[in-house]
This record gives sequence, structure tokens and C-alpha cells, in this order.
Amino acid sequence: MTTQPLDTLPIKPSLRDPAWIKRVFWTIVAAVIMWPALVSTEFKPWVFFESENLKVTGNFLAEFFPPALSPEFLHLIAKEAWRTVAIATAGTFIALLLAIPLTLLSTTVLSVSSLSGRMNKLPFVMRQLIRWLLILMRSIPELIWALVFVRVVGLGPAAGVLAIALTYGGMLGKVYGEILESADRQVSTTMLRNGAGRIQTFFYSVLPTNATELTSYTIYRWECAIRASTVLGFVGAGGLGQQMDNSMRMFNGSEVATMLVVFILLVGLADMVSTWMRRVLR
Amino acid sequence: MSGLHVELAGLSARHPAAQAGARAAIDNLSLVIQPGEHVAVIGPSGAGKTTLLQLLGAALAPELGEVRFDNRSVWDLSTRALQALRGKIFYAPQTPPLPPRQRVVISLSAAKLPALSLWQSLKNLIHPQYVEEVSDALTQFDLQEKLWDRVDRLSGGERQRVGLARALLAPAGLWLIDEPLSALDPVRARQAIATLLRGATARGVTLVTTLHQVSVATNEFPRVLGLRDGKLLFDLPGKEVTQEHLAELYAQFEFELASAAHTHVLAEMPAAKAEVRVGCA
Repeated sequence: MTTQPLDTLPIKPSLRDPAWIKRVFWTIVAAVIMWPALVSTEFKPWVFFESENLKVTGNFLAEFFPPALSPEFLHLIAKEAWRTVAIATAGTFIALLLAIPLTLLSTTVLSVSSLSGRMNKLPFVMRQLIRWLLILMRSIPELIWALVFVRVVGLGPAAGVLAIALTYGGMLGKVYGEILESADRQVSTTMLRNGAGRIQTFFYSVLPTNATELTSYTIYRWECAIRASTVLGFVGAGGLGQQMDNSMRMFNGSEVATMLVVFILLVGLADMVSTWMRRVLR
Repeated sequence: MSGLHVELAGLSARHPAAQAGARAAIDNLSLVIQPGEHVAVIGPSGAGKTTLLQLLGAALAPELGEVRFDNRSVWDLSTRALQALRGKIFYAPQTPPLPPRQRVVISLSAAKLPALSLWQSLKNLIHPQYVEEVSDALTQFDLQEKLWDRVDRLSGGERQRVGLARALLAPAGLWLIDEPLSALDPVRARQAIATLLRGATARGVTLVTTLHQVSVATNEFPRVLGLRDGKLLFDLPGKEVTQEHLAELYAQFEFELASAAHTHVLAEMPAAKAEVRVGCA
């Protein structure tokens, strides 16, 4: 009879971690998937630390201090920051005007024909078409829309407003639709069954039931639009972004620093306003 | 608005959420209701009472048979004509359909919508237009001081009474009311049923209501339908419904009958007010 030394004895199967093999497997899979992605995006973090690049970065960052604080510049920045907010607000407002009728036309909540079984064919086809229109509107990023509109209406805020209006109209329309579909339908269905019209039902039961969710999402989108309108400035749609683009081209670090601070304040402010509004709406 | 003449001929229907092959909720049922009649439907849980109301309200399409209002077949109508007809029906589900953040004054005037133009209904949202009418209807249910309150500030019983008060404002010739008393204490229940009956008589509308409280049905209603397994077991004046009828109707569901009888006893003792909530499915 042969005896094995204790430490070479196979571990009892019941004591083996059953998750171990799986864990190793998925780690390898993740590495295999990540590798080509890193190669194709030219992810080479070490270029940051090459002495030449370090010098350029260092010089640019060093210029951040002191930030530009001359009264004329501050005045200009205040005007541009206000323009950024205005672009975002006007864009969101037009998006709202686009989204409301599209939501009303596409939601099944207000379908009279589906009260008694299946929806009629024509309304069904129309609802699908509007859904596709909403997908088209929001699948093209606002930056691309802005590039298109800069060519149509020229450089300036109008292009930014239109770009935000289209993309955000698509997003609002889709999410409004989802909010309405997922809400409790008892109130609106009963109202339709009692013979009220579709628009009456919207104002008397769908809207009061969902008002908080709808407004809260709209305010959140407005907050996003403020960020987006800054980026749109880089392609010539006016506002803070355009100024930042100019200063960056000139390697004017101190101006860039001021604008970054203003930008952070702006987003923080939008966040505060939207939190406050949501609390008021409860 | 005078009462609607309602006729069901050889009607069979399934609950919309029922599985294929399930027993029909309403099984080959024929029934004529004259304009201005007051009808109570009683029967154990699952008898098909709610389905019957939905069929009467043109809310559910039957599998077989016909529903006729004033001798017109309902389901042959176009979607538009059907919707116009639904404006003449007031259907109150058991859970009152009131948006929580709406004010009572708006929730009640919503019952008038089928008779209002879009412009009138929007104007009413901006500035309430029918305050007097609404206040009258609320007073009849003892809720006058709730006029400007939000619906989510009301108790369950108050909400149910607001739902019932809507009937008084609806431009309807047929009231279909599902379990109007389920959240009311016995005193309130008597008051509510009396108000509904009085309102229906004054307007000449046809009233059909399902009831869990058998005694209320047999005491107050000139016509009582006993519904069991989707079939009519009896169709009698309330006074002619005997204990034997009820025993047969509620066989194996005696508990429901017992709890409803209990309610009746309490209803005759006003001292027991408000403390007792009538639990109902």
C-alpha cells in the first residue's frame, strides 16, 4: 500500500472553488477582446511621458495660471456664457414643441381603436412611421446636425439651436412615449371608454398622472443641452465653446482656464436649478 | 338625457386577460333593460359581474352575440360612431380613476368631457368653469369642503365617493357602476346608494350596478340579477329574492354572503358608524 505525502494529495472536489475556472476564462476573454480595441485606438499612454510632449503639456498648463481676469475679457465671457445658456434653453424649448405632437401621435395610450381589441391598421402604420422619424432625429449626434446647419444658416447660435432642437426633440419624444406607456393606464383608459376625446384625455388624465416624470426628464435634458451647446461652439455654433476654441488655437492658457472655471460653474448652476425645480414639482 | 334601452342577445365573452380554453366569463346570456330601469347585479366573486358591466359599457367586445343600444348593434359601428356612443355611457370602475395630483374640482368636471368641445375643456383646466355644478354634486355625497383639495389628499372612501359623484355630471343615459360601496362604511354606503338612485330617477337614466351587499340590492332595487359562472340564475324584483335563491347563488361562497349580511346588520345600527370598513374583493 503506497501513501502519498499530504501536500500532493488532490484537494477534495467539494472544497475546490467552483467559480475559479469561470473567472480565469472571462479574464482571458476580456483581454482578447480589449487588445484589438486598444491597438486600433492607438492607446499608447507612454507618449504622455516623452520629454518633448511633457514640455509642451507643461508649458500649456503653466499658462493656465494666472487665469485671464481683465474686465473686458470677463465681460466677453459673461456674454458668451449667457449665449450658451440661451442656445440650450431655446433648443430645448423647440425640442419640446417638436416632441409633444410626435409623442401624442405615436403613443398607444391614447388609441381609441385599441380599446376594443386590436388597433386599426392605419393608426398602427402611422405610429410606426413616427417612431422611425424619432429614431432618425436622435441617432444623428447634435454635433453632426450643427455642422450641417452651420452650412445652411451660417456660423452662429442659430445653427446650435437647430441642432439641439432636432436631436433633443427625438430623445424627448422617445422618452416621453416610454414614460406614458409604462404608467398606469386605468385612469386614461376609463376616460376614453367614457367617450372623451383623445386630446381631452391627454390633458385630463395622461398629463396629470405623468406630469412630474415628464418635467423632471425635460429639466434633465436642459441640463445636458447646456453641456452640448458648449461643445457645439467648437464647430462654429457660437457661445462659450467658440471662444474656447479660439483661445486654444492661440495657446492662450490663461483664457482657457477662466473659461473652464466659468463652464464648471455653469454646469453646477444648471444642476442646482434643476434639483430645485424637481423638488418644487413634488 | 333620457335612459338608454339596452339589449344583450346570446352574449358570450371572455375576460381580456383570460388564457385560451378558459371558461367564458359570460356564457350565452340574454337580457333586456328598459330605459330608466334600476338594476343590481349580485353573485359570488368570479361570477362575471365586472365583465357583464364592461360588455354593457361597450368596453369589451363579445365573442358571440350582440349588444344593442336603442336597437342599434354596437359593434357594427365605426370607431368614431362607437366613441360617440360611449359618450352616452358612464362607466365607473371599482377603483376610482382619479389622477392623484389633480384637484377634485377638475377630476369631477372631467365627467362632462364627452359633452364639451376641446376649447371648453381646455378653458376649464385653466380656470374651472363648472364650479357650481361640481359643488352641487359633491354636496350630495357630503364632500362639499373637498372641492379645491387634491385627490391624493383624500381617503379611500372619499375618493370612491368622488368617483360616484362624477355620475351626476356625466352627460350619460346609462350608468354602469362597479361595486360602488366597496370602500364605504355602512352609513356612507346607504347614503351613496340613495343618492345614486335619486340622481338616476331625476335624470331618467338607466342604472346598472354590481353589488357585494346583497341586502342593499334586495331592499333598494326593483330588479336584481343573480349571476353565477357567467349565467343568469335569477332575474327578479328585489323583494321577491328569497333566502333559497341566495343560498343557491352563493353555494360554496357562503362566506361572502355572511360578510355581506353582517354589513346589513351594521347598516341598521348607525352607532357603529365609521369604525367598520366593509372589506370587499
